[in-house]
Amino acid sequence: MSEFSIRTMGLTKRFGTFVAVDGIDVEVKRGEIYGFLGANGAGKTTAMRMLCGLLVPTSGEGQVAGFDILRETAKIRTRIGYMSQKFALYPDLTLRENLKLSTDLYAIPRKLVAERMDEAIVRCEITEMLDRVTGTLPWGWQQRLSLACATAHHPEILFLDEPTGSVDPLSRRGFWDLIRAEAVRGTTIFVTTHYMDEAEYCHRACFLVDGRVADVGTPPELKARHGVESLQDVFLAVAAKARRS
Amino acid sequence: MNLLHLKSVARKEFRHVLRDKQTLFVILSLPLIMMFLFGYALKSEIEDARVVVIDPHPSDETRSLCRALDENRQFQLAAVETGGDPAKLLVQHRARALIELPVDYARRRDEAPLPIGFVYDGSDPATATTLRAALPAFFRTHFVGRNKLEATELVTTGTRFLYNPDQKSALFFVPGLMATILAMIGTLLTSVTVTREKELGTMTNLRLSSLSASEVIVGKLAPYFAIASAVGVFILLIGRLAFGVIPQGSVGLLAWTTALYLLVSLGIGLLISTIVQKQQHAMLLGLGITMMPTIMLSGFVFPRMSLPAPLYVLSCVVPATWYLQIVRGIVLKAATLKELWLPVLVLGGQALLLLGLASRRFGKEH
Repeated sequence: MSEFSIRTMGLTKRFGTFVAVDGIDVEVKRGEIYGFLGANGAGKTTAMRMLCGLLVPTSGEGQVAGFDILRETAKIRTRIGYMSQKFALYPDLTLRENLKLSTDLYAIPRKLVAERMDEAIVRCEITEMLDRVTGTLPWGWQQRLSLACATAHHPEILFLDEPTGSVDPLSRRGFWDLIRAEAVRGTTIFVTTHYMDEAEYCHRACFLVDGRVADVGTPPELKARHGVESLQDVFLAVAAKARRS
Repeated sequence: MNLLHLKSVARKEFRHVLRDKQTLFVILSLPLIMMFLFGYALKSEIEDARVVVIDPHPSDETRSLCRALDENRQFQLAAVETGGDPAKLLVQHRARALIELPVDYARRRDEAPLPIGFVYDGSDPATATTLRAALPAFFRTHFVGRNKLEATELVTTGTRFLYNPDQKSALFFVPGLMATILAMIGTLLTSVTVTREKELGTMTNLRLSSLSASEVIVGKLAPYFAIASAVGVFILLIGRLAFGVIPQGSVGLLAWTTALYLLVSLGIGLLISTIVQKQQHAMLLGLGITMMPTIMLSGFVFPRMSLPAPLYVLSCVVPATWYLQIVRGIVLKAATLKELWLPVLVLGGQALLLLGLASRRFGKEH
């Protein structure tokens, strides 16, 4: 097994004449929290969707969990979990029903379903509200349920597409505590965000500008390289060169 | 196809419907409202239509004629005048029609032809058309019953309606509404359920799951197929209990041809959902594609023969055109597959084509 969970070489996506992702090379190590940072429209989500097999790349290649993103998307799908910026569960189902459906969708073997559900319920701290209708609960509960649904099948890699959107810092910190616990369990976390306080949680961060990789490194490395105090300032320094936004 | 996958998607879909009380209410009330609206508002039978008689020379004979007219359930004698302007009399007596008897009615009533004039209130064409058939029919039976005229002489000019001898409107609108309501429900439910998942973002979850596109389609559509079938049964039950419509032909044949028609409707709905992204657009497009063509072009309300050529061609594409032939055939004429093979074949082809095309498009997105 390779030490990398995700590897891309020259990954590119064009929409007509617009180059959304322009030949990026990315290497994400096993068990790492890897941040994909950049302004709106920098190509973060497009790149992530190609890695998940939701979008076909225009050119370039890549492996996710050891499988080719062009030819082995079905195998990749069972080994990854995906959570998007938008709350993507059924608001009219209860937490338990949503979670059960996810275990069905990810084809968890029947005899394992009860055990995996219980495990995810405890791990994501949603025990008390299990039989409440999802749409009536506050953001924190819904997001923890999303996490439970995305991880009940024990994926090797968890993709988080701007997972915290526009919520308060306290809820965000609570959520990140759970994400870090996932990484400790050995799950690779690939997260896109434009909140620099979230970027501080990453082991390594990759700044994307105009669809290209502008800089990669650990948060201390990045700050040192640009001679600044915070990732916020690194972001401003690299984004200043952007032509798109 | 994995049965467990199908089951989990279908179960979730059933839950959506059962918990969405408003949609459930609309699904059930739509057939009820339309049935009773058409049943009572669009009734083509007439009852107690006010009629004025101009009788220039009253006699025992004309008085007996007027009495018979008044006793008939269809008409009500508004007035008997000896003369006057028909237009003024119609307005004055709020009458729908006017009968002008000849001066020498008493003497000539055994002769044929007897010159009787009918004037109808054309401002209400629907009633006028019905009266235009009902009044002369009344005179024919009146004379055949009471006079020495040869019955055959009159019967040769008489008309008989086969299959629906009383021209009961229920027999006309129950098949038509089956076609309309099933097309609407089948198409709308399908297109809305798919676009709803696109709006929610849950479609991404389905795409990232281990389910194949066909498992998602079948799992999602099966519940709506079942619901629409139940609505079909519901319509037939209302037709039978409230309007006395009893299918003359095979109910089994009606059931599976209806299933075929439903597949066409689901196919249209699925196709719509691969074209638009929003529930609202899906709903508007679904209504536009199903309701108006089904009512206007299928032959449900207007005869297809009177359509201009381009619309006639279009009407051949409307699934309801073919389904209506099947339902009318089975319900009224006890037709069998031997007579109905063409419309059944067309519906089968449409179902294959639409579902195939929609699944392909859906699979590409998936």
